[in-house]
Amino acid sequence: MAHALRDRRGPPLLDLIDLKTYFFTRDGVVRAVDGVSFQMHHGETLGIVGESGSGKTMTALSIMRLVPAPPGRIVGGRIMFQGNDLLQLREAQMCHVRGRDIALVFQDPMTAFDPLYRIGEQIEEAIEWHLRLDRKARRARCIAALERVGIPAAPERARAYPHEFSGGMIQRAMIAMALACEPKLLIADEPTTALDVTMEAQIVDLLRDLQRDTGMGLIYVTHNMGVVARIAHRVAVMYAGTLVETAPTKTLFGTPKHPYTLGLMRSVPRVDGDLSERLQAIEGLPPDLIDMPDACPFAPRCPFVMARCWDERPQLRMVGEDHHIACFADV
Amino acid sequence: MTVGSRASFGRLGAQRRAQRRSSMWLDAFRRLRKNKLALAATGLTLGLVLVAVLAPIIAPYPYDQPHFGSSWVFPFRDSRFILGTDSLGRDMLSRLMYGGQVSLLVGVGAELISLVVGVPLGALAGLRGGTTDYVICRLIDIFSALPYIVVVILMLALLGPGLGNIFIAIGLAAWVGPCRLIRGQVLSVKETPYVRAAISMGASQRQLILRHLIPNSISPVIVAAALGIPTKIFAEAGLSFLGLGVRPPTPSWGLMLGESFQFARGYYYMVLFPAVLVALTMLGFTLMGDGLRDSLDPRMED
Amino acid sequence: MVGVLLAISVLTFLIMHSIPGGPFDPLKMPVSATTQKNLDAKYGFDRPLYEQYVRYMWAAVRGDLGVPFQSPGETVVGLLGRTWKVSAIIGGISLLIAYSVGMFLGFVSAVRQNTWVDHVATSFAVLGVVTPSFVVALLLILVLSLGLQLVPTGGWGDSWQQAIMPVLAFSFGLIAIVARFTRSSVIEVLRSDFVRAARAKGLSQRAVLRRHVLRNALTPVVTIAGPMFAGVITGSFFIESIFRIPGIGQYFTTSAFQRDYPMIMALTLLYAALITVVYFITDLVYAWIDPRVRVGASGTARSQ
Repeated sequence: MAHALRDRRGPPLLDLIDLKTYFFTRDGVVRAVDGVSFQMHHGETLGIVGESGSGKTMTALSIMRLVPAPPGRIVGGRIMFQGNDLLQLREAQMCHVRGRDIALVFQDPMTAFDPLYRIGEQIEEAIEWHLRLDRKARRARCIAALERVGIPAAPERARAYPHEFSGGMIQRAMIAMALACEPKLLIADEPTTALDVTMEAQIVDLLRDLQRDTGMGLIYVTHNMGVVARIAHRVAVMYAGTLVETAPTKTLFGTPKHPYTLGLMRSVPRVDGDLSERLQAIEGLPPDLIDMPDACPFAPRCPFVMARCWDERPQLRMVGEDHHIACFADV
Repeated sequence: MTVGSRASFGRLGAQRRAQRRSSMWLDAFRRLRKNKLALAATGLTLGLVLVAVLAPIIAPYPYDQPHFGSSWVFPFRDSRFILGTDSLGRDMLSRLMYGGQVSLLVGVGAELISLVVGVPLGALAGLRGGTTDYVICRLIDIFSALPYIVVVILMLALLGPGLGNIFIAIGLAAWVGPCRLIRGQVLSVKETPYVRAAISMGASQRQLILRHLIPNSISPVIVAAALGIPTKIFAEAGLSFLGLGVRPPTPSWGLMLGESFQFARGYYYMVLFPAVLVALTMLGFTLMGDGLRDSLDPRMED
Repeated sequence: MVGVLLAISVLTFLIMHSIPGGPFDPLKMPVSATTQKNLDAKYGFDRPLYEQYVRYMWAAVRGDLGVPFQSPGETVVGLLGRTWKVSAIIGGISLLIAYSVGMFLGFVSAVRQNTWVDHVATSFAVLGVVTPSFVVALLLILVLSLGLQLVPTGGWGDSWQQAIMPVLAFSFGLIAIVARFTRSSVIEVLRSDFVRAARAKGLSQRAVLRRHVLRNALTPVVTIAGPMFAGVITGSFFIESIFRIPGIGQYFTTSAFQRDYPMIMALTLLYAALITVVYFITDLVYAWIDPRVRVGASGTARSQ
C-alpha cells in the first residue's frame, strides 16, 4: 500500500488539544466531547470509530465550529489547524476556513442540499463564495468536480435538482461540492450510513482514491470497522466522549490494547472465524452522558476494572509505537 | 472483579429509561406540567368554565332582573352592583357570568356537534374508500368553498333564530375540519406496517378500529377540538353582536357588546368587560390547545 | 372546479326556495291576492323550480345576475360593483400590511428565537390570533376614537382617515396569523440539514438566511396567502358593521335574512368562485416555487 504522500515528519495538519464540547440542557450537562486530543498529518486518513453517542460526530462538528449553539458550546481546548488555533478566529474568518481549507461531508446527502436549487447552482455557490472566478470558470470548475467523483453526463446532471438524484449519486455530488475549492482537510461524517452496501464500497473507494490523488487529509468518522480497515492509515477509537485508543490501523486490528477496543474486535464477526463460536458482546449499555462523573466512562462494563478507574479519568499513555490508550490497566 | 460489582454510575440512563413503564398519556402529562404557559392557560380556562357553570349559584342576581332606579351605574361605585349595571339596571356581573354560560355552551356544544358529524364521516371515507370516499370528499369540497361564517349565516337563515339553532348552525358548519382530520389519520394509519400486518393476520374491521385507529387518532382530535372551541365562541359572539344570534334577554357577551356599542362613548365599561372576557376565554382555550398539542407531540427533547 | 360551483349554485338555490317566507312575506307585507299574483309572475315565482334555476343560470352566465330585491333601483352586478370596491380596498390594504409586517415580525422572532424580541413578538401574535376582530375594533374605538379622539369612528367616503380604523382592526389579526406562520416555518427551516450544510460550505449566517432560508420558509406562508386573500377581499361582516362601512359583508347578512335571492345567489357564487380560483393560482405558485412539485419538469428519471 502506497503511503507515499503521507508526511508524518512535517508539522501536523490538524492538532486537537484537549477539545471539550459540552451541551447545557435542562436535565444536566452532556459532555459530548470530553478532552479529546489527536494529531493528523497531510496525506493521512484518520478513522474515528465509535458507537452512536460516542461523540465522534460532535468532534467533527466542533472542528468546523458548527456545534448547535444554544444548548452546545465548545468550552475548552485548542484546535490547531496548520499552526493556527481555529477557536481564536472570529466568525467571519472561520467562514473562510469552512468549505475552503476544511470541508465536511454529511451523513444524509439528500437533506444536505437545498431542495429548491439545482445541484450545479449549489456547488457553484461554494466556489463563488471562496474564489474570485468569473462565471465560465466557475461553471468549468463545477463540472470538473462532478466528473472527478464519477458522475456521468456532468453538465446535464448539474442542472438537475436534488430530488432527481439517487442516493449514491447525490453523495458523490456532495463530495464534489466539498472538494470544489480543494480543501486541505476533508471530514466525512458517516458518509455511507444512508447508502446500501454496494454504494458504500464505491464511495469508500472513491474517497480513498481522491485522498491519494490530492494528498489532502481525510478524517473518516464511522461505526463500521470494516470500512476503517480498508481506508484508514490510523484509527482513533472513541467512547462516551473520550478517546480511548489511537494506533495505526494494522496495529489496532492486530494488537488492540484498550478493553473497549478488545471488546469491539471480539464482537465483530470474522470471515476466517469459527462459525460455531458465539459473538461476544460487551456487557451492559452505553452510559447516559448527562452529568458524567470524573471516572473512566467504560468502568461499568470493563472486565479489567480496578478501584482506581472509578475515581479518576485515565489519560492517554503510550503503549507502543504511535499507539496510545486511555486506561489504567495493563492488558 | 466482576462487572456487576458496581453496576452503574448514578444514572445509567439508557437502561433505566427502557425499564420505566411509561404510557403516551403519562409522558404527555409530564410534558404539559413543564409548560408554564399552557398550565396558566388551562387554569384560566378552567376558572372561567367553573364560573360559567356555577353562574346560577354564585351570581348575585338573575340576569334579567332590572333595577329601575339604578341604571347606568358605573363599576365600583355601588356596593350592590360591583361591575355596574346596564341600561335597564341589570347587574353587569351577573349578566357577564350568565353570558359566559352561553358562550361556553355554544362553544363546547357546537364543537361536539361538529365532531359527532365530522368524525364518523371522515372515518367512513377513510375506511371504505371508493365511492363513499369520493362522495364525502366532494361534499368537503363544496363546504370548503365558502368561508365558515358564510355557511353559518346561510344555515341560520335556514333555521331561524334561537339558541338551539345557533348551536346547530355553528356546529354543523364546521363538520369539515374534523372530517378531514380523521380521514387523513385513517388513511395514514391504514398504510402503516403494523396495521397491514394485522390485516394480513385476519384482524376484523372492528378490531382494527378499536385497537389501532382510535388510539392513534385520538390525540389530534382532542387538540383540534380544543383549538376549535375558540372559533365557535367567536362565531357565536360575532353573530349575537350583529343581532343574528341569541335573543335578548338571554345574555351573551356578543349580544351585550352589540347592545352597548352605541353607548361606548359614555359607558365604556359596558363594552370593555364583555370584550375582554371574550378575548380571555378564546386566549385560554387557544393556549391550552397549543399546550396540549405540544405535549402530545413526541419530541426528541430527551 | 366548475362542478363544485355548479353544485353550490344548485344547493343554495334549493335551500333558498325551500324555506318558508319569501321576499314578499304575506305576514310582513300584506297585499291583495292579485298583487301577489302579479308580483309572483314578475319575479317568476310561479314557474317550476328547475325552470327558475335554469333561467337564472342562463342569465348569470351572460353576466346578468338579476336585480336585488332590497334595492330594485340597480342591478345585482351594479350593487356588487359599488360595494365590493369598498371591501376590496380595506381588505387589500389590510392584506398588504399583514404580509409585510407579519412576515418581518415572524422572520425576526424566528432568527432571534427565545430572546426578548421573540417573546414580545410572539405574545403580540398570540393576542392577535385569539382576539376576535370585532373585539379589536371595539377596543380600538374605545381607545383611539373616544379616548384619545384621534380618528373618526366610522362612516365612509368623507375622508381617507376613515379607513385607518377598519384597516387597523382588520390587519391586527391578520398580522398575527402571518407572523406565527412565518415564525414556525422559519424555525423549521433553520433546523434543516441543508442549512447546516450551507454553513459548512463556509457561507455566513446572513448569506444562508438570505439565499436558502427565505425561499424555503416561503412555501407554507404562500399556502395560507390564498385562502386569506379570498376571505379578506370579501370584507369582514363585523368590521363593516361596526365602522358603518358600505361593503359587501353587511349586504350578505341582510340578504340572507331578507331572502334577497338574487343577492344571496350572487354572493355565494362569488365567494365560492373566488376561493376556487385562488386555490388554483396557489397551486401554480407552488409549482413555480418548489421544483419537487412540478410534474415531469426536467423529465430525467432517477439514475444510478
